[in-house]
Amino acid sequence: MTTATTSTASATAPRTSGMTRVTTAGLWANRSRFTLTGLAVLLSVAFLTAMLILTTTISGTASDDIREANAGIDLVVTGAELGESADSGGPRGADILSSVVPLGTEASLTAVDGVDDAVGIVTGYARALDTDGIPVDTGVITYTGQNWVDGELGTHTLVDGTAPTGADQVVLEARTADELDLAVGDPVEILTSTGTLDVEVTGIADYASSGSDPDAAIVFFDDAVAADVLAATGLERIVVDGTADAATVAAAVGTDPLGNPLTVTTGADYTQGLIDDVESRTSFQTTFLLFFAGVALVAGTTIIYNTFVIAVAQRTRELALLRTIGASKRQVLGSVMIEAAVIGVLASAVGAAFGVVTVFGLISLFEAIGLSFLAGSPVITSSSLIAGFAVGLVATLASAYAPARKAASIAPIAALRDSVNDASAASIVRNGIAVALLLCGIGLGIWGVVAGSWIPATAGIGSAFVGIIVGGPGVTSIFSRSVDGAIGRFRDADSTIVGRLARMNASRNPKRSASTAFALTLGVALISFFTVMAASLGASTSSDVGDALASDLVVESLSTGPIGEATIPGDLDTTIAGIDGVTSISSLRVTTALADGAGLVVGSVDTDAVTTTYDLGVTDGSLAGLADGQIAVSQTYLDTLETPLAVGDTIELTFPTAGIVDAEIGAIVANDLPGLAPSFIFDTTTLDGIVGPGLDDTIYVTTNGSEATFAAIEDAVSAAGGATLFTAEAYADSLGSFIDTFTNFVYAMLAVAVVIAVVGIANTTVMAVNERVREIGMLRAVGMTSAQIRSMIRNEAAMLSVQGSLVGLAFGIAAAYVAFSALGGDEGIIISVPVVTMAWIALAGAVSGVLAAAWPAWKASRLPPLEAMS
Amino acid sequence: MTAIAPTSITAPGGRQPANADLAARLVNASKIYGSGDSEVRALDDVTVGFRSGQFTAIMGPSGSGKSTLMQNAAGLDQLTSGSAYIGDTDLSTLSDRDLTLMRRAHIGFIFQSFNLIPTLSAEENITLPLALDKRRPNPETFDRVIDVLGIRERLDHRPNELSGGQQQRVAVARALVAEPSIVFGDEPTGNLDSRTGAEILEFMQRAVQEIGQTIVMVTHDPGAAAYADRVVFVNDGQIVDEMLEPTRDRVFDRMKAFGR
Ligand SMILES: Nc1ncnc2c1ncn2[C@@H]1O[C@H](COP(=O)(O)OP(=O)(O)O)[C@@H](O)[C@H]1O
Ligand SMILES: [Mg+2]
Repeated sequence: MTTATTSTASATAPRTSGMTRVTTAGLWANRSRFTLTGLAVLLSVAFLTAMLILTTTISGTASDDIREANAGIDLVVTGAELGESADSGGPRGADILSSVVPLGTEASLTAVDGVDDAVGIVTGYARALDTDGIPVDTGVITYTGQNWVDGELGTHTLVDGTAPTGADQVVLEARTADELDLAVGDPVEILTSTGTLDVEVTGIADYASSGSDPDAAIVFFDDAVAADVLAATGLERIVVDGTADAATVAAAVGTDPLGNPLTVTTGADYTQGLIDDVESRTSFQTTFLLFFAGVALVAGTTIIYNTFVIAVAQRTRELALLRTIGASKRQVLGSVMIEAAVIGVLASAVGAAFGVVTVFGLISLFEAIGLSFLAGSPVITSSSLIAGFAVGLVATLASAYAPARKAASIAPIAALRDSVNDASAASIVRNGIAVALLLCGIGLGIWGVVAGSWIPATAGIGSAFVGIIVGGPGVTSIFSRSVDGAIGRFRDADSTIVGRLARMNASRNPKRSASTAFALTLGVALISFFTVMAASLGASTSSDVGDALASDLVVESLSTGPIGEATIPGDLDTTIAGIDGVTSISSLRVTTALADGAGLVVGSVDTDAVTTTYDLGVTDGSLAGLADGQIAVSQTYLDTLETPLAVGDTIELTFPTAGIVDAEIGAIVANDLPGLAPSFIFDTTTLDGIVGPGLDDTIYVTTNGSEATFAAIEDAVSAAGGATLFTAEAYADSLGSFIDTFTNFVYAMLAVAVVIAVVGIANTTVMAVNERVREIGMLRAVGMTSAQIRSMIRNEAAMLSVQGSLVGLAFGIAAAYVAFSALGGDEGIIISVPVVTMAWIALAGAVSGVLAAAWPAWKASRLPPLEAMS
Repeated sequence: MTAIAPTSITAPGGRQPANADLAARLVNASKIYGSGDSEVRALDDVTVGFRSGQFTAIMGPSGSGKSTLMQNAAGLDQLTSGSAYIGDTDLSTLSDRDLTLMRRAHIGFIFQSFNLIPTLSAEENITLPLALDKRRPNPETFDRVIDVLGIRERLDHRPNELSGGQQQRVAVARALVAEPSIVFGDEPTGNLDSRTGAEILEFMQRAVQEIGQTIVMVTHDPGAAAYADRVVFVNDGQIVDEMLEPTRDRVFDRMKAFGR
């Protein structure tokens, strides 16, 4: 078509400008396919740029802020390190559990030479409530209260108002004040572990220059009352200003309540520790985000590669003609690479700019699906934009390079041949390698499942994945042949000529079809994998809890999840207990402790009531002794021990604030309480005696079932704030709700890859239509209607998308099965494949191809039959 | 579709009467490409008819408008003015869909090249127009055409497994098996060597003589035109002459008169 004209034109033009003209004319003549390729690049780059901006936002400025806020601190005294915390449940989500510094220790430092100032920091639970009594949510890890520290040793500086004095004044961080719309002088209610306080905001403070502590939302109390208000039994740390060395200070401060020497670190090390904590926490998030950016990029890159492979194949004669008239190999290579560069530069530049818009879209999307790990506005730096642009350009050039090399190696003689369709793809060697990789993958996968070992499992998944890539063209041929065979058997062959043409077309160039389908395979495989993962986690949690839950109502703290905090006001349980028709009530409190140096969550229940509210599944001993200070331990914990413990044995628990407690095992239980896996359960009076009173995490309520009782409880819960009322089933389901949030997030992230895959299918289809203009004209001439042409093209694209999604689905499910069997076998994860969801995913994948083909199909159906003759 | 009366003139074995209805015709047909300075009048007020059961050749120098004439008569393109009829149906009154159905059911095509769908076997190519209509070929017609063309052995082959001559035979078979009212060919032997070309032309001639098929063929080869019953000469978009019972030499001489 147009290509022939271009090359003839260049024959008469001077060489260099001739090659440039060939390139530009080629780009223009093929603008529709390059628009789609550009769109694929653009989408990948926009998404990547958005992810880079998000990662910068999450982790970028925190370290600078931490350094700035802690700049005035020379030495820090903290408790002794006790061990690793369970699920980052330590203070501020830290990985290490430490003991506390005894109250008043800072006084021993005032006389020490070289110490100019030493201030003890007390912390405890404190969270501002809105006017409805609902705890404020600013998207941070923890909500704490702390004593206000002025001057160099303080992390915050007042931007408005004054420091708090007395028990009824607080200073809030700007973020909290903004969220609650509070100003200096306003009243505010604060939830603490001992109850709610009505106080006045006397000041607004900023952390470093950004305004807020990266991890915690802090409420500041007067130094004189903080320890009381926060029910603190020790200091979290002492910050020291001065030139004294660590050893001198260590000698002066003595030991923690457990008798361990206190830890003294330099301000610089302490600051670095805070930064490391933030980074280790955010690196998971950033890795996750960049993973999805990578997936989108791989999908985009496949499409660029595919486009150039097809473009070069279609232009074989033109390029050969150029070689015949004297263009060097390098000039041919250059002309293809210039095309790639033009697309790469344009699409990446627009993509990077579009990334900024994407960030705002994503943030609102995250909010809509209930994800709040991003507080504040995105930090848009030029380096994110430049990196997005550069990666896009490099990816475009890199994926065009192999096709360009192929173009350069076209022999001049090819100009004289009819262009040959490359149907060679499904070579025996290639298929053999693919089958070998798949079998190897399956074998390793089975080994991983049987042995419960993740190394063979991941190797198997990897091997099978490479097998799918290598075997793609073979799969295409087999797939279209078997679909054709199956349809031929069930339907009158003559009636399906349109479908048959489509199926034949899809397998016409198996390599091309396979690499087009690959982007979709990748997206669908990941979606299936995460869907199975989420369903399995959900099924495991809800079914266990659903079975064990005996109460008909559950009152739950507002923000639970991986790092939940108890928020139920202290007197709500007594209020509910007093309601007519409530037959039994048991509240759960939790705290952290260590056994054998490993952090764990310890809970307390009302022993006499728990039997009617939650079936702990006692397998040995009895709960009766809990009232006398015994502990119930779950079997899953005992299973992990080398020297087995039994009922009557003693288990040594270390509480960071309260020290060591030897608890006698009174019962062994089979069912873990939600959030306590494995469970360590005391009676409420015992745990209160050890760590002091706390807020309820969960209240289990059994009633006589009357509606009036339910209504009264509902009223009490909403009046108290800080809690949500669930029916038993709703509660079991809600335990999986953070999994739903997570799944929605993953779907949103992977949708980008799927959209790119769809653009790829559209692109391949457009190129196929361009390639077959005469053939389509011929079909029109002999009587194929426009509608039949459209249907043919749509069917052809559907063959690609069905293949892509089925392979992706099968691989995703298999990979998830292998991965979770290998990894989660001992944790009792039930592998659950949600069949209906899976069917929807397959259907959506298949339909996406039809949508992708809508435009090319329309274009094809408008081709005049005359094309066949020209 | 049903509005178009199927003029079943392909009754096997018998020739149609000499003055039967016209299978196709153009009336005051003009076709103008482009506009302004670049305007090309490819057909200039042409009126011509093609009698059923007759083999007509359209001759003329390159660029004279032969292909344009055929394409418009066959409903592959729209005239700028005037009318094209297949049987009694004015093609300009048909929607794109009806026009397509008309071509499918009543018109056969043999092009110079790219006649066949590479992904389909020879047999599937032959039955394609019928398959598009969810019909099966009349077994008698199918067998006769296949045997006359000698391609029975090749029915399972893909086009790329066939020689150029075999491909054109398959194309001829496709044009005939659907038993159309009229078959149009645009230089159907243009890409073949003279011996293979001659074979194809003989088949076309036999189809006209034995089953009364109507054929209109564009050619610039006097030798090819000699197989026809009648030759229509086109020059500068107009019909300039006509010749019945042509021979190669007479056509050649007439062509020389165009001075090209
Ligand atoms: N699609 C078109 N656009 C513009 N001009 C055309 C087109 N098709 C044919 N022509 C012009 O119309 C005239 C007749 O063309 P054509 O019917 O193909 O001639 P022939 O088949 O006799 O060689 C020629 O001058 C040709 O250049
Ligand atoms: Mg012509």
